[in-house]
Amino acid sequence: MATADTTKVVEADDAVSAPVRALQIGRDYGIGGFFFLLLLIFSLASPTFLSGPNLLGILTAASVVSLFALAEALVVIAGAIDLSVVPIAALVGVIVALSLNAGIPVWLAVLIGLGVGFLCGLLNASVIEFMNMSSLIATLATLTTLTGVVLLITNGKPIFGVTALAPLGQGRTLGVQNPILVMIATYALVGIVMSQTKFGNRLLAVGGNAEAARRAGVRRRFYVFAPFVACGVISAGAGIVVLGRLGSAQPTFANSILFDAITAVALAGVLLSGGRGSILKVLLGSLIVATIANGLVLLRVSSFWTYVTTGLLLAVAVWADGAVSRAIERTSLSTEHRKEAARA
Amino acid sequence: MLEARELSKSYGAVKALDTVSFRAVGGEVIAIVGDNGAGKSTLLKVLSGAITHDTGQLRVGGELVDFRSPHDAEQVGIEAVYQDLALVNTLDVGSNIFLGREIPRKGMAGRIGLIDRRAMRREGREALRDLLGVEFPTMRRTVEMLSGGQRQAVAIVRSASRLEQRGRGVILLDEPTAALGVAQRQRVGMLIKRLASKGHLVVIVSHDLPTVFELASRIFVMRLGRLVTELHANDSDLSTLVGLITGAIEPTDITKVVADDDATASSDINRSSRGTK
Repeated sequence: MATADTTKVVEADDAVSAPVRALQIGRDYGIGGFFFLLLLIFSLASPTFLSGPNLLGILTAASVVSLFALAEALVVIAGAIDLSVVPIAALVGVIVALSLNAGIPVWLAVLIGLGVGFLCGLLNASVIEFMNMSSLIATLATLTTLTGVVLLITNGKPIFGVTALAPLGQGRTLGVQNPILVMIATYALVGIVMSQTKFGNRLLAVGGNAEAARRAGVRRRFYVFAPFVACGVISAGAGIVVLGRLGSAQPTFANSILFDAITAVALAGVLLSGGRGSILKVLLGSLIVATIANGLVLLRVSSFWTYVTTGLLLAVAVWADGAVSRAIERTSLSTEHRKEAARA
Repeated sequence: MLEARELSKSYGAVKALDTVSFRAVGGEVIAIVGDNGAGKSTLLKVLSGAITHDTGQLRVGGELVDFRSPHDAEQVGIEAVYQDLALVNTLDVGSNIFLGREIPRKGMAGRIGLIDRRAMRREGREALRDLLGVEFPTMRRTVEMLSGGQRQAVAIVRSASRLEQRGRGVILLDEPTAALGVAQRQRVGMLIKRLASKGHLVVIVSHDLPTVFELASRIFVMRLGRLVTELHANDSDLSTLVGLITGAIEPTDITKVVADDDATASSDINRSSRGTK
């Protein structure tokens, strides 16, 4: 098409040099490499690690954490954070348990539970958007408030005897535990949405540069609400899976679940940057967190060390992500200077 | 194509724009120069709809327009590329070019919101080649990995391809060469000439006077909110221009060149102008 034009076609220079490419590969595939290294170390250290039942056990353990991590990732991609995922799940568990014990059909109880998650997300986003608060503070308030609400509803006691969701939490399909299948299905759905749809593309854009997205005609406010609402619904799903697994609704969940979820997201390279995030890597991050916990137990290391390891892992992951990004920037800048100099 | 009549804008006692009038047609490159605070940016923002002028008239393709937002300006074919470029660094080139108007997949898949990334890369590549004459090695690269010149090209082509969809229009460039090295500056210069040769009106605001001389056919000099004079690039020189900008030379000191042949303002744009009076 470019034929009789006044200017000739100019070749834009290839701005990426070999060292930058290497750093990028490190950033893009480092987490996969780390996971295999972890598998290698544990399989050498413990003969039972690579057995089928143990691997399925890791996946089962990862199934709940990975749902929280996925919920968190959507918010972090949009450039915010949600500390309230765990109490949302606890609240949903309690409400679904009460509904089931009151004789409400399973499908309706589940729908009510997901609806409660939806409303919690809506609440978080509304506080952030309309009261002009940072997501950290807003969701910290939600975290505390919801924890209190759940304790008030239950009087601090678990709700026992919820059997209707046992097939979801404990059953198997084709030999695989159903929570694992829920995890895979949810990840597949969210993965497709994030990588293949207009919604995913725009959410990444708003997270990467909200002002640029706004100027390109993207309705910013919608993309402030959507990730929190999605986060609330997925957290609710996690709460329902936990209810099915335990057969009872617990008023309090371990706080470590939130830390594990955030660590998984950080390992996936989503944290800090905003606008960046691969859903598959979030799954890998969750698997790493679950694998470390599992491997340390097999090696008879005190579970207290799991906290220490996970904490260090979070710090190292965030540091490495930042360091690599800065190195890429520095290296590509210096390369550009050299090219300029060569031309002059 | 673009005509301003006695545009004024005040901030309190400060006259940021003082009865500015000019006329320009498609195919031209015009430059707005002036010292800091001379009103260049204010003029650019009024033209792009980012701010609203107090008095005076603005006509696009002969029709009176009244912009309330940049969106209004885009509706009549005026696109602005600001200095910060407004690109999303973490997205690839194709996604940036089509941000806000993603290409849907064909059929049912498109209706439920699936986008055709391959088409976006292909059409982005074609737009870069056809509109700007730039060939990118890969469209998958994220914008953060591009050189300054490449980023400028992506930002310009995004605006230019929006204009192409509706025929011809006006593209406003704020300091297009500010962050660039020598070679890249030349490259962006070629892009600008090429846009004008496609029939668009290109308006650049710049401090880079040598580039201004090289690219623009006419140079508008602003001082203290007023458009003090208009130079034809071929019959003027850098020292005169600098003198005019700083106030060392008064416009009356030189023979004024008034272009009447531009009076035939073309109406390339079929607009659905909002607020047309």
